[in-house]
Amino acid sequence: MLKVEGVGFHYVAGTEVLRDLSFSASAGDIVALVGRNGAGKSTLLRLLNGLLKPTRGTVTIDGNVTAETPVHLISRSIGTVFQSPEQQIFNATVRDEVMFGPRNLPITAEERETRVREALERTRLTDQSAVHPLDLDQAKRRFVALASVLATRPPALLLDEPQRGLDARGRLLLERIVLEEQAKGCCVVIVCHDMEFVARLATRVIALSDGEISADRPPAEFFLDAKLTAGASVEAPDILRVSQQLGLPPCLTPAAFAEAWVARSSEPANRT
Amino acid sequence: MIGQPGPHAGKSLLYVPGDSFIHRLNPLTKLVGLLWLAATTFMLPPEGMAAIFVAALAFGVIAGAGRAFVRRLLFTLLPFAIALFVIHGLLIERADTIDYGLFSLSADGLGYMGRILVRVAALLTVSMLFVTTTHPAILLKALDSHGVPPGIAYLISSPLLLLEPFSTRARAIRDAQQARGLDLNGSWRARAKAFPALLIPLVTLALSDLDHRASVLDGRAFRARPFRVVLDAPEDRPYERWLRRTLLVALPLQIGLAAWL
Ligand SMILES: Nc1ncnc2c1ncn2[C@@H]1O[C@H](COP(=O)(O)OP(=O)(O)O)[C@@H](O)[C@H]1O
Ligand SMILES: [Mg+2]
Repeated sequence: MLKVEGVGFHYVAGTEVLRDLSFSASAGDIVALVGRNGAGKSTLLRLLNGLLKPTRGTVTIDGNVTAETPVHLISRSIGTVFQSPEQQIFNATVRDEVMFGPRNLPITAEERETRVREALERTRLTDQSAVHPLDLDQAKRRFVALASVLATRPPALLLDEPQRGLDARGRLLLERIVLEEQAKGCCVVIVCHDMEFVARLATRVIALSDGEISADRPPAEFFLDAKLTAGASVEAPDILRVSQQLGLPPCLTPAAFAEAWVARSSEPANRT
Repeated sequence: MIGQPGPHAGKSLLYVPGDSFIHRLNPLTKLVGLLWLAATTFMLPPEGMAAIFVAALAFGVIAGAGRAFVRRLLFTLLPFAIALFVIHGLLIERADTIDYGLFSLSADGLGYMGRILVRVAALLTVSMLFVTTTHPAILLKALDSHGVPPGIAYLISSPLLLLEPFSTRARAIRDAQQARGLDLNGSWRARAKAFPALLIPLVTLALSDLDHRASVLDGRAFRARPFRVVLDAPEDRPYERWLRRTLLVALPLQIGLAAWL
């Protein structure tokens, strides 16, 4: 689905933001992109959606090399929710906003309507479809941005810090949508500082530091290696530390913890 | 309002960072100097204007903005020169127009064109010298610390201050719309069709920005106290103060002299 080969990038000649990155991701992957502020995560997303062209190496999306494909065509294979939703919401109503993407696709008017309706329903925005997006709160605006991307049904989805400004309910809804996309075979790349989320959902963690990929592992391996988490300046989920302190097998999620706890309790030999 | 301060916070569209002595001059000195040079340009013969042009260009190079200067000069002056050449050299019929068959050329017209061009070049480089070496925020502080009414200070510096968020905004809009399938690379027609999708957001967002700015300024009691002490006001040296006074006195004298001669 997406393939990054030997990619380097600099905004200003002489200061490389990214050096020699290589990885690929396929349908059903949820890739969590982690790293400290300024590590180049947003830059990498812009290289993936073709808004930036690598200064070295190639990025291939759905078989198309980004350097040789116009951005608007790449956008049919990959949708992006940018870091600040204010920067991608321009229309007078939520509905118009969500319609923007489908309108640029070669599909029938009927199909467009279906997709917009579905995207609004999934993001719980149906009731606000006639509202001006800038009259919504920050969380709702994030979902408008998300809906406007979902409506184009891209086979890959890039989310840049989508949890920012969401309350618990919003995060839950986001999580659900990400899982639905995964189930449909979408390849999701998500820049994320919420390690509980990463532990629960990601199939892979890619950590960026000093312009390079310092780790590309499943979450379980990544969080268990203190050197890797320190390199990306992230902290493993609390539940992992708790489970280790209790002498349980390492657990990354509350669900896994509960399971391990029950398993130990029902094993008389281990009781203390 | 303008999104979070991006990686360019503190950077402005026209400002070229540096530490040359021109950068370090008090913005007010530069502003007065600009005013004086601009007015003087109109009183000088073409050779004088050319001298100002060359001098401003040289100062630009000293300030480390040589490349920006040349690039912007080419972009603005070249189309202008071509238009002037067509109008004054070729199209306007003069006494000394010589017909070369395919076209007719007037030496007088060319001379006239040359004079306009040199004057515009001089004004442009001098203004560029100002904007490339003066960060608008520092200009605002300088004006403020000299008791220039905040409204007027803001009026002078806000076009410069607004340029940067405006261009950042424009870029964000372009990126977002392209990422949602807007065709900006296709045929002439496709691009014309795409234009409103870029322009409308830019205008509406700019308007809401201005609105927001106004309310923020009011909220900070921007108009409440005309004389405030600006703690980190740009340095102002005595010789600069004298230079400014001299230039400000010279200006009306020069204009009077020019009118009288
Ligand atoms: N448009 C730009 N021009 C120049 N430098 C930039 C630009 N955007 C980002 N950078 C720089 O590139 C680096 C990576 O930025 P970014 O990709 O936004 O990091 P992250 O999203 O991981 O916080 C930072 O040092 C930032 O200052
Ligand atoms: Mg970022």
